[in-house]
Order: sequence, then C-alpha cells, then structure tokens
Amino acid sequence: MAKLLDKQRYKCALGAMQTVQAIERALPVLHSGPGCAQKLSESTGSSGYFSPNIFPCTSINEKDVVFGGVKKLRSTIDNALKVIDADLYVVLTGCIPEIVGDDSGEVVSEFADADKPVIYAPTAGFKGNNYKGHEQVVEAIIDQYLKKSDKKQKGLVNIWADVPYQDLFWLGNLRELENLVSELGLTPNTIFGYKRGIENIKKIPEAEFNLLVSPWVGLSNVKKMEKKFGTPYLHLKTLPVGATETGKFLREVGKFAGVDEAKVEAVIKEHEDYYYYLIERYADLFLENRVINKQFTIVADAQYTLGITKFLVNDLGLVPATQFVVDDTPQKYREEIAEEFKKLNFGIEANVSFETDGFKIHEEIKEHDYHGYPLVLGGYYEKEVTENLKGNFLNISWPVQDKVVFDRAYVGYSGGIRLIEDIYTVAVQRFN
Amino acid sequence: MGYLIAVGSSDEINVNLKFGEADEVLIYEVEGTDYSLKEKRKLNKEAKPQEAGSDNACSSDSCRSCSCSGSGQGCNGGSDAEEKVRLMADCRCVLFKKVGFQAQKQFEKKAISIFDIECEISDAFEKITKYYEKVDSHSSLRNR
Repeated sequence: MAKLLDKQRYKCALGAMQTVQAIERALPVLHSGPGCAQKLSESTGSSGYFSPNIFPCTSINEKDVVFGGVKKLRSTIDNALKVIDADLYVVLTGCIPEIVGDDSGEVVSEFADADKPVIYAPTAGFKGNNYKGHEQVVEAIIDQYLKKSDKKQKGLVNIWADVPYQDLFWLGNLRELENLVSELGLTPNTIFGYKRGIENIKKIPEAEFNLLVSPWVGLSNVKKMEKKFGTPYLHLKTLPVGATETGKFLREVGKFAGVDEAKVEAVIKEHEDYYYYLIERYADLFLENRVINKQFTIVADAQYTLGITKFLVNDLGLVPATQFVVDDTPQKYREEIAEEFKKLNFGIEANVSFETDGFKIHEEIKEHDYHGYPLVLGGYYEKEVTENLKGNFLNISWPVQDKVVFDRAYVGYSGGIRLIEDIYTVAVQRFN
Repeated sequence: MGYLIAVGSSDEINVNLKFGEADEVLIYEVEGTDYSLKEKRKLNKEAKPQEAGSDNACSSDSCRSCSCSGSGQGCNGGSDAEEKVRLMADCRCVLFKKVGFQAQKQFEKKAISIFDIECEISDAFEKITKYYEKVDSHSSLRNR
C-alpha cells in the first residue's frame, strides 16, 4: 500500500544539482521534466555565477516519453557547450528518462572530445534522496573525469564532508575543516565553494589521503578512490563541534598523517585555552540552571544529530532525550552510527531513532518527559511543536526558514562557540 | 476502448506535414495496438492564415473578435488554429511534423497530446499505441 511521508527532510536524487552548483563554474545539465528543476531550485543562495533558472534542461514531455529524449539531450548538451561558459558540465537525469530507458551515458560519451569535460550522473529520484545524489555526482567525477596519478603530493589531504546547500553551514564548515587541517601542517584540498572548482578537482588523485568527515555520506566515494587511485582514507563519523570532539579530530588526523604529536597537542592547547577562556567568562550563565533546558532532542541528518549530540553532552553537560536522524540513512550504516551515540562522556548513552516521518517524530517529542522545557534543535518543522511545549528551538537543519547563513560554521572550536551563542541567545530570550 | 489519432501526411506513409500546411488529416482508429485508417478529414481553411506583417493583417474583423497577440502569424492565426483544432477535437493525439505555439495551446486546452515528429506513420503508431496501452492499463512505462 502507498505510504504517506509527513514532513520530508530531503529531496530526490536530482537535488544533487546543488552539489554541482557548489562547484565553482560547474554547470548542471538536466535531463528531466521542467517541473523537477523548478521545484528543486528553491534553495537559499545560488552559486553566484549560475542561477538555477538558467540551468539547461531538456524539459522532456510526453513526446519524449514515447519517442525517447536522447535527441533532445544531445542538442541540449551541444548548445550548452556553445552558449554557457562553464568549466565542467554535469548531466543529471531525472526519473522519466531513466524509466523509459534513455541511454544518457551513451549520449554523454559522444562529448568525450568536447573542449570542456561533460560527465553524467544518474540521479533518478527512485534511486534515492539527494544525499545519494551527492554521492553519485562525486562518483561521476571520479569515474569519468579523473585519472590515476603517479604523482603524489606530500601532505595533500582531500576533505569530504556533508552535502552542500542541504547543509546550511556547508561552506563555513568546509572552510573551518580546512583551517584545522592546515594548522597541523597539512595541505587541505576541497572542491566546493569559492576558488576551489576544477583546479582542485584535478588535484584529487594526487592527495596523500582522503579525509571523510561524515557518518555515512561519501563513504562509497572514498572507497572508490582507494580502489581507483590507491588513496587511503580516514573516516571520521563525527562532525567535530566544540573542544572535545575537535581535539579528538585533530589527534586522529595527526596520527593518520604522521604529524608530530607535540605539534598536534600545541595546536589543541592554543585553541582550548581561548575556548575555555570564553566559556569561563560566561560561567555564571552556564551554572544558572534555570536558563538552559535539562534535556534536548536533535532532529537533523546523521552528521548534525551525531555531532551536536556529542557536543551538547560532552561540552555542555546536557542530557540527551531521543535523537532523531532524518536523512534516511541506508540500513547498512545504521548500527555503526547508533553505536557512536553510546560513546559519550560521563557514561551517558543517547537513544537514537532513524525516522523520516515528521508526524511520528513530533508525537515522540510531545510524549517525552523533558523534566521541564525541551531544547529542540531541528528543521523549521519543529518550531511549532517546540513552541507548543514552551521549549527552546533552534533551526539547524533543512528546511531552514528563519535564518540567513552566509559562511558561518558550527565546526571546530569557533563553531562550538557559535552554537553555544545561538542556543543561549534563544534560551535567554525566555526571561527577557 | 478505442480512440482516434489525427496524422498530418501527404503520402499516407510518413508524418511529413506541418500543422499549418495541412488541409487534410488522416484519422486513424486505434484499438489496443491495432489501428486502421478511418477517414481523411478536410480541415476547414476558409480563414486562411495571413502572412505575418501583411498589410491587411490587423484591419480584418477577426482582429477585433479575437485576441491577436502572441500568435506570431498575424491576427488570424489564433482563430484559424482554433478552428482547425476544433475539427480534431475527437482525437486523443495528433501527429505533425511541426506544431506552432498557438496551435499547441489550443490542443492543450482540449487535452489533446501533440507529437511533433518526422518519421514513418507505422513506426510512430507502434510506439504511441504501446504507450497508450500501458497508460490505460496502469502498467509501468519501463522499457528495459
């Protein structure tokens, strides 16, 4: 029987056009119906160079369903190459051409000799959500654009994190991860955002290792790169937010890369000193037990639910209620991720629920005894339910309706401080 | 249940006429994937489309009686297309080499599908009849 999914937190795989959009001067070429692109383009902020409104699209219709849309795809790619000045053209297919059997890969391969690279990622909605679509785009780059390199650059690290635009803080987070890695004396390489783009993509095979900071998104990509380029990878499931996890992050990266331990500790100490200086200045606020809520719930994708749960328990000493992971994490990763929620300080374990249905999540939030007002960090959908419970709400995950984020980050030491600021800004408003 | 398809063809083998140049269409009757020629239907062309920019284009009466904006082919384009489309109103879809914007809108209004293609009628029918059969029986359009 057909099921209804209430308050869905992700888009279809074609939403990966946001991943392409995050690569500077890369252009999605859509082989889909016109409505798909229109619906998916409603995100905050464009690439700055291409507006989603100009993404070439085959706009396939009934005729193409019956007679096939490959001719249209060929002419769309051909003309996109002529009239749009981009560095990389990524053909993304929607559901319709994949169902009726258009061989888009074949059409794209005809452009192998074009002046600019044209690659193809199958992103039909029935294949998964935009987290999966993101992986497909990265996979297309690895498979179709990059070649194995004999040259390895000492200390070069590819950093992979969660999905651009789906994660509101993607840009700031990536830059902060870069900063942390470079403080260890390594050279970070990322492909998303300002001044990264095609030149950085070309460097991917030359890296010493891949650093994946995500519970599961991108794991298949780094495994693929290990196979194709022989690049080893370090998989850190927890997004490092705040001092405890960022310290662990730096130590693990340092160990993997063979960085001198004393150097790592010196970096950590310098950051922690400032971090705890800030915390101490506001110790009164933290110790005033009426200000902050006793228990919290996070409703977000796996990276934020895990990262922020660890932060709020380990750094702020709050107690977790049930935590919700809403990104439809593939079954095979769930057990390992749930294990991570048991690795909290003070012997605390958090209960985690992989749930995509907003109605069920809200029912659980309403039924749980938070021993006072709840603190809920989630998508905009949670605003009303939290307000009804007179709780404190902060919008940290998609959909985001009540804030504008340019390049703020929740990653690292400074990111932890930003998150404390945000949470306590909400909390103190209750009394003022 | 059977349905009708209108085809713009000059030789009864190929779909080779544009909507605008067809004085006559072939009407086929389809039952499942079987089809047969039912009739040749004259399209009323009394109100001949005028060349765009011709001198009397905007002085004719039809200009006042119907909207002439957006047809792209002078004032009579709209009403002419409307009349021709009306004559195919009993068809489920139409096959022409090309269909102009104004006519497309008129067909859409009547929920008649347009296939602007250039190929043999038999090839087109093989695909279209299969497609409608799947649609009508609510089965998947998957081809592979």
